[in-house]
Amino acid sequence: MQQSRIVCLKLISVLVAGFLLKTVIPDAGLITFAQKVDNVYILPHNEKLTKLHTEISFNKNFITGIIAYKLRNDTLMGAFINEFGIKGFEFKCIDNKFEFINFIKPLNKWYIKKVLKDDLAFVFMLNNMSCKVPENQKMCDFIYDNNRVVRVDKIRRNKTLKTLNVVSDSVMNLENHKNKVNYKFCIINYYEL
Amino acid sequence: MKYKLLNTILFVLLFFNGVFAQSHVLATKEQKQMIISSISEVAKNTSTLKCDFVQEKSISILSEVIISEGVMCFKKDNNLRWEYTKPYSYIFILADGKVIIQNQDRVDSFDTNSNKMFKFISEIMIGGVKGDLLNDEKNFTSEIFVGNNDVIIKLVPKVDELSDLMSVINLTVNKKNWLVNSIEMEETSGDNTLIRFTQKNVNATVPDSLFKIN
Repeated sequence: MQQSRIVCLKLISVLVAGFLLKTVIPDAGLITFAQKVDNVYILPHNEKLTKLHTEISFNKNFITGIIAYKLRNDTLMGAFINEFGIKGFEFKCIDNKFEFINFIKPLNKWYIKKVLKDDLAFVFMLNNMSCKVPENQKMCDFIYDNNRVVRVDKIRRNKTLKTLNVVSDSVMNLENHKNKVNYKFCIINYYEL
Repeated sequence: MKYKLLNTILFVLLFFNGVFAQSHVLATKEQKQMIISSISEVAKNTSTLKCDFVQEKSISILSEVIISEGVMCFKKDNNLRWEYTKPYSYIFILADGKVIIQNQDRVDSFDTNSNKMFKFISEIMIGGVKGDLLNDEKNFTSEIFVGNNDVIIKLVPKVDELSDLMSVINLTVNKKNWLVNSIEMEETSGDNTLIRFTQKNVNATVPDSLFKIN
């Protein structure tokens, strides 16, 4: 009698645990859910230097180079340089704010800065939900595959503004649907991080 | 005590001798003429040049140096292949007034005049390799500093398009063979890019196929 009670309790606990797990861990395959997220970073976020091979294309134009960045005293600092070493811009992310520090004069146009700022802020600070949008309209849609983020959509007023496709641990692409700007990122020193 | 004092004096003398040995002084008019004619003479007799290079980009806000490596091939008159092999493959070819860029799986080609940035990069790279940036009075003001083993040619861009990108370009030229040892580009922000050339091979066979991408 005592033994059957123990077996019964074990069975119930397994069933309860199974039910709880099912509600927390997504099923295998693609599932979608929207939520307000805090401190979600797709790219490495640490004090070691990350080097991202970056390609930015818009219309028939493109810029390529390296975005190098790292955390310094809790501030993410970075710079974009082209292959010849010419620095395009420098930036920092602090307290959920993305700021350009230096910008090369030929690219220093308000519309370029506006688009780049918004796109890079999305990539580097996926927890940045603090823009001037009502709380109920701030949304990021995270799509998981086997507990790994494979896609993130930035949605405002039911419109998908940007999509970050996480191709692998070191490769990701960002599509800015509104401004028709595409970005390709590849971590070139992935194994050093 | 005596020995300590002597050692100190010896150290100071050696140290300052080393410092002075490294220092460069502004060239006299005669020296400047001699340097220009020596570089021009070598450039005239250089049909091809092949060398390795290491590029060091300092980024002060990160306190880091980003290092790239590659191979450079030059063939008269204005054919240049600037190939990065590290940290990733990137090939920049300048031939027949066109720029071809192969960046991993992507190949792009365009006229040098259609892109000011690449036009200036091409001029600096070729001018740097040939040393004839010194004669480019339209785009630069120049000063020459003479050292024991090399000369430093300091070029300050005159035109806005160039001065927006960099404040000073320093070419270091070897006094033995009058070839460029390094190009240093200083930005207005204070960061700099240093490109050092090694394994220089003058007038070696450089096939035309290197300036094409199929």
